[in-house]
Amino acid sequence: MKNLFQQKFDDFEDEPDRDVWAAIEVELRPKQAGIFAYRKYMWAAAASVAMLFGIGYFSMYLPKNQHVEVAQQATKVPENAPTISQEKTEAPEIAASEDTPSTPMQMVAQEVVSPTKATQSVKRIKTADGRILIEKTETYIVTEKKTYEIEPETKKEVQVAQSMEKQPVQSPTLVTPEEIKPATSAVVAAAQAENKSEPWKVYNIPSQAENTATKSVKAAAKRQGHNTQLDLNKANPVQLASFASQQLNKVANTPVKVNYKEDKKTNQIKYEIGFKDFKIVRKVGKK
Amino acid sequence: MQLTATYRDEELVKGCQNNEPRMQQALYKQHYRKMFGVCLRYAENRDDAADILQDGFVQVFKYIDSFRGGSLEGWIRRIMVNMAIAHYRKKARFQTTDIETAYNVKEDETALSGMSSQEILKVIQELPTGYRTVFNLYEIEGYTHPEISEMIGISVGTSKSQLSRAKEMLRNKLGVATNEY
Repeated sequence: MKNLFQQKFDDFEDEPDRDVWAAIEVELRPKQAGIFAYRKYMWAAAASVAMLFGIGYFSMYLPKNQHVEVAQQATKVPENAPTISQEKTEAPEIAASEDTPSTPMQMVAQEVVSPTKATQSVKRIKTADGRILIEKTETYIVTEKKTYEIEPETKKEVQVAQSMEKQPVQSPTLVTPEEIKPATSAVVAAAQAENKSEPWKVYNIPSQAENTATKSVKAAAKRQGHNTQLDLNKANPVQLASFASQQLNKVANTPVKVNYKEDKKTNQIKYEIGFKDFKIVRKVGKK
Repeated sequence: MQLTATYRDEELVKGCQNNEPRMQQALYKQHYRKMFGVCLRYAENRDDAADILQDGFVQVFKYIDSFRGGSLEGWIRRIMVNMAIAHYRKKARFQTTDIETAYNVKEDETALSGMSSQEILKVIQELPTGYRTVFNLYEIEGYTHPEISEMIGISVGTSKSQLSRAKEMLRNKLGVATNEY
């Protein structure tokens, strides 16, 4: 026969506050998560390459009208053939004056490759007086290479794009003040209950207050779309702490500092949530 | 949680044994609410309960091949309980006193039956970890003291004293008798 407690909890159900299934999936299928992450990097890399091309195109090509490849046609008529017109009969020439770059770029080297004959065609033309003319058409492609030095501003943009390729930027996610406030209030209240005369003294903070403070960090992690366990113990804790610190500072009346420290002796990582007059130190896992 | 198709236990188990994500999710959706209720009884707070739930279901899918029929819910529940014990074993400091305290308090079923599950849960969560664990295992899961002593790694006497103290604390908090129901 069931006792009263058993009866009370026989059909007891509740809903977790966070998406536990998403975290389980990450643990079950880490490879897919890895592929997903890899795809993210690929997108970042592709975006960076596209940006590089974009910067190059707009800053070097379109505004300056600097053609690097020019194709011209020339008509060459055999010397012994009757002359029809005074068109140019020798290899084509390129007008270099049009391509002079303007500031902020400066041309540092120029190279013109010898004309290359691409096509040739011969046509017979019968004139009104009965003469037969031969028209020979040769097409040349002339390639001109120019190298420009990019001004510092442009260099900077390229460097930014390159750094983006190396380190994908995490989109900032906001933690609402309402979400953090209960946690900070609890910690502040705990601090106020203690003697506040010694800055950064490690006080004996009630576990309840510590839990709420921990929750605020976890909430920040959760808002960033990470698994909280993963983030607190394994993922980039410095970044997470920095983020949590920023969020806490927004809503707390006293300056807040969140640090992660590595204890080399025990090989453990600790985090500290510090307000003006106290700090909480908690070991969060082995390095 | 959105409505999803309900599968028979055999279908769920087979699908999970074949490592089918759809069936794994279906199994989770069919059981997670009840299992979260179990985890809540062993945890200090909802966040810890969610952690236990997460670790527990990972173990469920990891060892689904070892399920040998019977009640799937019961099997999952045992895993959750074991996970809860593992979660708090390192944290709990079980007292080593083997003093058995007998309480003969007048029964008051009316007060307890008039309380909601959430109200009772809140009081249970306020118990010290060791008391709470033994109380859950003995009173709600129905394990014996020798079984509990083996599960947690304490003596039978300690298990009994933990239970007695848990009951005393609950009695004070609930204002009802907890040794007889």
